[in-house]
Amino acid sequence: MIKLIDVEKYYAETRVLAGITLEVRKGDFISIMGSSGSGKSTLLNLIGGMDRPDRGKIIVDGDDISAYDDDLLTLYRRKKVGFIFQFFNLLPNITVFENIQIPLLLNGTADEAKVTEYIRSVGLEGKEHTHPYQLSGGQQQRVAIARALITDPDIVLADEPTGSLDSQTGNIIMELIINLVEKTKKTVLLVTHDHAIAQFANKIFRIKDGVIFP
Amino acid sequence: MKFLTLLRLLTIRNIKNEKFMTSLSIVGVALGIGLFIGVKIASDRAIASFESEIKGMNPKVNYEILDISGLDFDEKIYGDVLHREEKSFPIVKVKGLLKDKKETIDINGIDIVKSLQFLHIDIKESYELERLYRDFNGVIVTKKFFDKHALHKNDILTVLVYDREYHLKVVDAMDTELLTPNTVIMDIGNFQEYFKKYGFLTKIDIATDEKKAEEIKKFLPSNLSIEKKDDLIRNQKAVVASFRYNLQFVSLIAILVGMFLLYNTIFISVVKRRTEIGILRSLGSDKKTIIMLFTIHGVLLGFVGSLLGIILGQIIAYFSVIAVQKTVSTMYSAISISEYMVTPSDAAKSLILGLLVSFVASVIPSFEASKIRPHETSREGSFEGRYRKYMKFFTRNYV
Repeated sequence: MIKLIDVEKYYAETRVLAGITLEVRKGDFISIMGSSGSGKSTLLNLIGGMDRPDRGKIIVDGDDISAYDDDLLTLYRRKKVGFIFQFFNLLPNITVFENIQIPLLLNGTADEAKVTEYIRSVGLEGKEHTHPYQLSGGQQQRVAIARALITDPDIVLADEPTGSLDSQTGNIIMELIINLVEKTKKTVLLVTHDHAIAQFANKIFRIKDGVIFP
Repeated sequence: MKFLTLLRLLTIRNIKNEKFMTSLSIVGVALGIGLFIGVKIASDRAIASFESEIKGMNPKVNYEILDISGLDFDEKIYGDVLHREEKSFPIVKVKGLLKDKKETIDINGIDIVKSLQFLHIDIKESYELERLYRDFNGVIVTKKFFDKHALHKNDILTVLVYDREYHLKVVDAMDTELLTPNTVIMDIGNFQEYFKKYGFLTKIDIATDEKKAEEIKKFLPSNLSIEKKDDLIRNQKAVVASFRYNLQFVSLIAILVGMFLLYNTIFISVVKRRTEIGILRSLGSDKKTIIMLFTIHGVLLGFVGSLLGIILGQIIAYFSVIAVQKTVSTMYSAISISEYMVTPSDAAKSLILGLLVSFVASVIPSFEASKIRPHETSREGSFEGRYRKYMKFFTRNYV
């Protein structure tokens, strides 16, 4: 379970999050909607342990991750969180196979069979040895999804995962994410400004000027 | 963590992709190390040559009598010296330039039997002593010199001494570490006659104690002095040391340039790969891994650069030995250096220096890389943030 208590975040003098309190249960699929600059990506970064709040607490499975030091946050990101980014964030100089394998390597394994299995599950058989720049946007996002899920994280954070895709490809990607996370009952937080995409979730929150409301 | 696989994917592949920067850094390190090793060999060999010049034919002697202005002196004094110290050895010597080989040799006229008996070398059985005395121009060369020039017994060495041509006949080769390779030995009597130095000596080597040395000093004429060999070596070393520092300064600048190139390569790599580093951090890579990936990147370039530098150093050593030999001979005292090969010890020292320099050059940008935060995949980076405050200043001045 993820619990945010009165979380605030500032960038210089600007208050981006203004006392967010939110509770997400295990297995929830939540959409957070908001316009650009509303603070939705910042919120996702805080939950994902990529940044720290200036005030408040973020409690994940009973642990206050806002009090973690850098090493514990790194471990938290490695073991518990899978991130899907808007611009895919794949490493350009390595192949599809190697991109998906990186989180496993950081975890101390190199389970090639598992990588092959995930490549198959996102429908990229035959593309193992291609580089990201040789793939379409939709295919790159499939690689990113496989990479996010390969370590079997409890929490999946998706920051505008369809933001740089056309609507048809976006829908396919969303269905893929849902298919993959439903089986394992993962907690999913999805940030989007697209109403249609937000409808895939079972709860929708809106964020405006750093304040969240249902 | 499967660190080696990560290293292969993220570092080795980047080295292959960034061919220009990789080559530039390797060449930079190679030039620095090459120059360092070349200069080191030249100055080390120059000092060694000075030392052996002073130690002379007989490393067991500890004093020498010399003319204070460096000229040859009347041999009559030898009788008086011998009367007080039996272990004294007259020497007359000249420098000769091998006409065909453009190499300098030290031609020494010595009392061979007395000198070698003192050194416990059984010359009668080992060498063709009779021919050395019989042949007016007969010489014994060192085994190293003999092998280096593929000589045979009875070969003639054409030598220029004081602008006159002389022909020395090789009667034998002596396998000894006591002499520098370019030392040539003649019988003192034959030497004086052949080089027209009748009745003259260049120096007298003496194995004696301080008390007897003081006694000898008392009766020496004013143009002669008795000196302790260790003092002479120390003085000559001091003279060469300043020359050596100048050369080392140049090689250190070259190493600094190599270090700067390497630092730049890693720094540029960090800046260019900022997003990649952010991605790795967001996937759970710790700071230590990032530091190691980039430091090893630099050290690998430094390793390859150092190996190339050692090869390059061998070539530089050849030319710098010639240059140092000429300069030292012109400025201080005539020396001949025939050894210019990089020894395993020189190579190991240079490799360690190269690795150390590349480690220092890459560890700073590596720490910079580790400071990149995971969310810099989507936001302005720590690097830009840190330098943004200076932008106003530069923009205002530019406008």
